[in-house]
Amino acid sequence: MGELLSLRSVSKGFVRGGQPLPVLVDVSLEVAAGEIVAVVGSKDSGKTTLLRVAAGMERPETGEVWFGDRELTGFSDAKRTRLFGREIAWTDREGPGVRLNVRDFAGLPLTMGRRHGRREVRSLAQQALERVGVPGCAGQRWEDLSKWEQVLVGLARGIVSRPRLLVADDLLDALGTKRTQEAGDLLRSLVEELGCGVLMSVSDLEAALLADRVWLFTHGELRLMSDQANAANAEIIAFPKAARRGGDSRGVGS
Amino acid sequence: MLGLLVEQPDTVAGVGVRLVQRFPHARWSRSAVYTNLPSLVRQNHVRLVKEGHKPALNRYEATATGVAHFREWVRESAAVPPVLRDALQGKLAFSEREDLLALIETVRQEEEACRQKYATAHRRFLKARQLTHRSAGKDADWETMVRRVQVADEAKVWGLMVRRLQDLLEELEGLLREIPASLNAGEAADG
Repeated sequence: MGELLSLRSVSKGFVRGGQPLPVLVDVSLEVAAGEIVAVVGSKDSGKTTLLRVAAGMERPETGEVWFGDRELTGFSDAKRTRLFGREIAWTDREGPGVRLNVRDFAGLPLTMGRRHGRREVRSLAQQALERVGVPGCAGQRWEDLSKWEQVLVGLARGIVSRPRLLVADDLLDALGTKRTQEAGDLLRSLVEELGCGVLMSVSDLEAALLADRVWLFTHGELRLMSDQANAANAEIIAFPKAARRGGDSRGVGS
Repeated sequence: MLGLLVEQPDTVAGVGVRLVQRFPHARWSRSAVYTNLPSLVRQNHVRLVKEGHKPALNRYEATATGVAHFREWVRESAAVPPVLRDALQGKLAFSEREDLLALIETVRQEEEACRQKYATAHRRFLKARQLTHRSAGKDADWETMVRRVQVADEAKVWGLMVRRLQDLLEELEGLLREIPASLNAGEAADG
């Protein structure tokens, strides 16, 4: 399976109170088309930063981010924005922050790059809402939706542009067993339908089980927990921490 | 207590005082030393070297068996549920650099074992998920549904263990980094 997204030895940090705060330390991971990859980590562990770098929304300090055969870190902002609107989609549990109805909110990714007219955007957004099973929410406000409906609208927002890569930040967290499984089944069917890859962050181990590959993200480093996409290789992929700190390769197949 | 006697022979009263000094946050009953030292004698881990004119002044020392047993205990895994945190603190209080290295290695192996178990449970979960999908719309396959929930729970338990062990490893490695630093500081002060 060809890799869709590949992060190679990516590092990034911030400065807090005058002290450097490393958030990503030599991180490598890959996502192939048609697979779901989960990054599990506690709140404020830096998962969102990892996903933003993977989605091309932020540049890493060191390392490379490849999307297919294109290296994103060298792209101009305009070029990254175009790619983001067309081939990479971002979704999370955040609302629009302004007064938009659900249909317009779900259609927002289509407005980047102005490839579609307003009527077309609304029509495609409505189709996406129907696909995830909440067509009746189209005229409502985001704030009026239940938590579960917000997740479904989040999924609709993620697939509305039919992306090749969907990046979902904490979308499936804390839903409870039944809803998590439902969301997982829906996500899987969307992946099969679109043929896209999914990179999602979760703090909930239950939601992580929906993925083909699960990484544990802790203290800025990734550790492979389970690789069902390459189950035959899963047993031999063990990365002693000392070796990783010494700069050994960590990414599957990298 | 055994650790304190491995460090140096002492009286019952002396062990009691040092116990409180070394582990100020742990709770000890007054009689703990009086009851546990004779128990350690019965296990041949310590021996009475000099009888005092009252029990508090009885002087004990660790036997060779006791020293070996203690070293082995220190290096055993401390990957423990919170209730055994005191045991971990005890191990760390007596750990030398080699002990800490051995402990880190043990924890790392346990973490790897838990990770493998998580991966196995994850595989079973995905399989059960496929089976429930196939039976969707037909008569509910109760056993498959139950299986799916069971393996999900199992995976969560192993996943939590991996996360906990990762945190513990980070803590232990932090301690290990501090050891040479404090030694250097001591040498510099001496110099």
